Amino acid sequence: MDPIPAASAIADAALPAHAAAPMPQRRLWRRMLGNPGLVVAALVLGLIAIMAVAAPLVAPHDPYEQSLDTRMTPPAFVDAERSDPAHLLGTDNLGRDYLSRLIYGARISLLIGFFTMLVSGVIGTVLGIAAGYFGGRTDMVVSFLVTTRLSLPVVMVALAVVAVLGGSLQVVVLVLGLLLWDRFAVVMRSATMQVRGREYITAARAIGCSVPRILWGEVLPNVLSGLVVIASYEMAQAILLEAALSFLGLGVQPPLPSWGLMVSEAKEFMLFEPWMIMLPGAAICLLVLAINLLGDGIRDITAPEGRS
Amino acid sequence: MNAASPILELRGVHKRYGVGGGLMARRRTLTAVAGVSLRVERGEVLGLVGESGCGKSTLARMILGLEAPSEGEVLLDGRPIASLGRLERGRLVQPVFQDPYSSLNPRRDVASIIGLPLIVHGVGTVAERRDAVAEMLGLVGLAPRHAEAFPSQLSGGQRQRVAIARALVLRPTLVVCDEPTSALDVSVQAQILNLLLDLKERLGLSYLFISHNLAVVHMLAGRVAAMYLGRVVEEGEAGRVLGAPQHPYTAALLASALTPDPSLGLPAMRLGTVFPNPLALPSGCAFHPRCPAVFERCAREAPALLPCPGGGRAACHLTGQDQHQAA
Repeated sequence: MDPIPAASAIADAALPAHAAAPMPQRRLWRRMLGNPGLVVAALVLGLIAIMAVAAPLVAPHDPYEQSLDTRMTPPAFVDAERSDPAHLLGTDNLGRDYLSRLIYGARISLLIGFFTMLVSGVIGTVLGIAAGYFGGRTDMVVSFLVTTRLSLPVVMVALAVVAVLGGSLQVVVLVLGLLLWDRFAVVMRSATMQVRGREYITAARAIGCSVPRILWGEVLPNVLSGLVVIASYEMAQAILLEAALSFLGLGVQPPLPSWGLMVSEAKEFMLFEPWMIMLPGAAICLLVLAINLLGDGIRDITAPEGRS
Repeated sequence: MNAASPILELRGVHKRYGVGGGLMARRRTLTAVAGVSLRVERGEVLGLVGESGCGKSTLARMILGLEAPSEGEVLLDGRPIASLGRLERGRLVQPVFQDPYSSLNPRRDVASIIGLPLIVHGVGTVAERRDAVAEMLGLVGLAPRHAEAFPSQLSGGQRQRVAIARALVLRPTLVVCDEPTSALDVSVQAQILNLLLDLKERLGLSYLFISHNLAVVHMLAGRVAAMYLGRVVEEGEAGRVLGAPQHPYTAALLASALTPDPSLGLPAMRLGTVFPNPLALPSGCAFHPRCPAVFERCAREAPALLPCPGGGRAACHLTGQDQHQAA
């Protein structure tokens, strides 16, 4: 009796059916393109990102160049008579080109959103995975930290800290990053607890893998899809908070063109030139919407257990 | 390596867990394993049988070094397991688990799963590791093209082959198989069992084979140990234990095995409906509340694991008294 060839013949016979199925990458692509929200969000986000990166090339004017003669020129679609073809979206109260300021403002929003998400993501993921994997006392400490963090009102604390330290890009990123990690921690903790019980973790321990290797190679790749979704929400959250802080005059300082700051500067003229407050407001809305849609889309295409 | 010592020796191993406990509730002790002493010789297959919750898997986890015994010693290759580093331990003993859907990391492809132990142990160069993985694939009866597949693209039997390849790539001496076939289709079970038998011969492995399927144990194991509530109640050569059981519990296990003949109906286990509670162990012999042959001494005195007539050992007051019930 020679069981091996016979067994392998059966094992092989089972393969063609699987081999005919598309590879995971191609299936993922198809599922991505089948999700309109995700496609639109990716396009909008991509466009804003390209604009932000290539701002000096894309922007028609210097965003800081003032021209007091042409203050508050409305865009053509608001008032064709007063509009100036050189300023597609008009000028602000100091005569600076509005379109250029919006384009440069995208830089600030994306920068703050991205780096805040990075800071809070690293803090929250490390704490969450540690709590979920080690459990026991570590879990108790992390849960206490999360509870403490949740009892702090984000806007109040951010306002207080920025008021003391002064508003700048770095301070805003750091303060928001240190305040927005709670959701990362909570989600990563529960995802890790699920993964920890799997036998491949036990197998890795039996092999003799070190704890960092298990966390990095076995746990992290299996909680990553949840992480991407949270990251997108937190990025949107950070962008909104930066706009709020800048609106209150405690975020990015003028003359830096931040969207929140532009809303703030335009609010005095809200009744006379409403387009001035609408344009940066719409930009914030669009960016946050796109990021949220992207997060939803990623969740939808990764969540169904069709993967396994 | 010490050729004289058994590859695995358990000396009075206990495992207790504290459960519950709080402001008002007293913390209670759950005894999962209560004084198990067993040996697995080189090249031997020891079958470990018993119903769910009897401590088989806890025992396996201690042998793999994933949990420390509360009392007693686990010796691998004659050395206490606590004295071995995690890499050294990994080279001596490797597991094969029950559920091949949970035992493979879904984010790694097959080559990476089988190659991981080699990387962790720093074996060979990249090319040598690739060759070793290809050799393992051949040994477990998978085609070279399976190397790039992800677990989700494989069937249950193929996944179990991958799990076996991962366990054997380091060429361990002892493999702890924790119900390696009970999650598989019956037709695939036989393939996997044949594969395990064949690999044992080719690579000179020893198995601790945990199962509740007595037919599977009979096919594979040279010796069998039956566990009940954390204790070994009977132990001996497989033919003897499964042919002429000395302990009423082993006899009941055998009687409860399903047969394909429907005219026989469902087997009667004759053990009653009283389920054992590991939090409140019965007095005397742990099995006495369910034993069909119980008498007054059983509730009073715990029987020792003593040599019995047909060879091996059994823990029952009736053994050697010639009046035992082979139910």
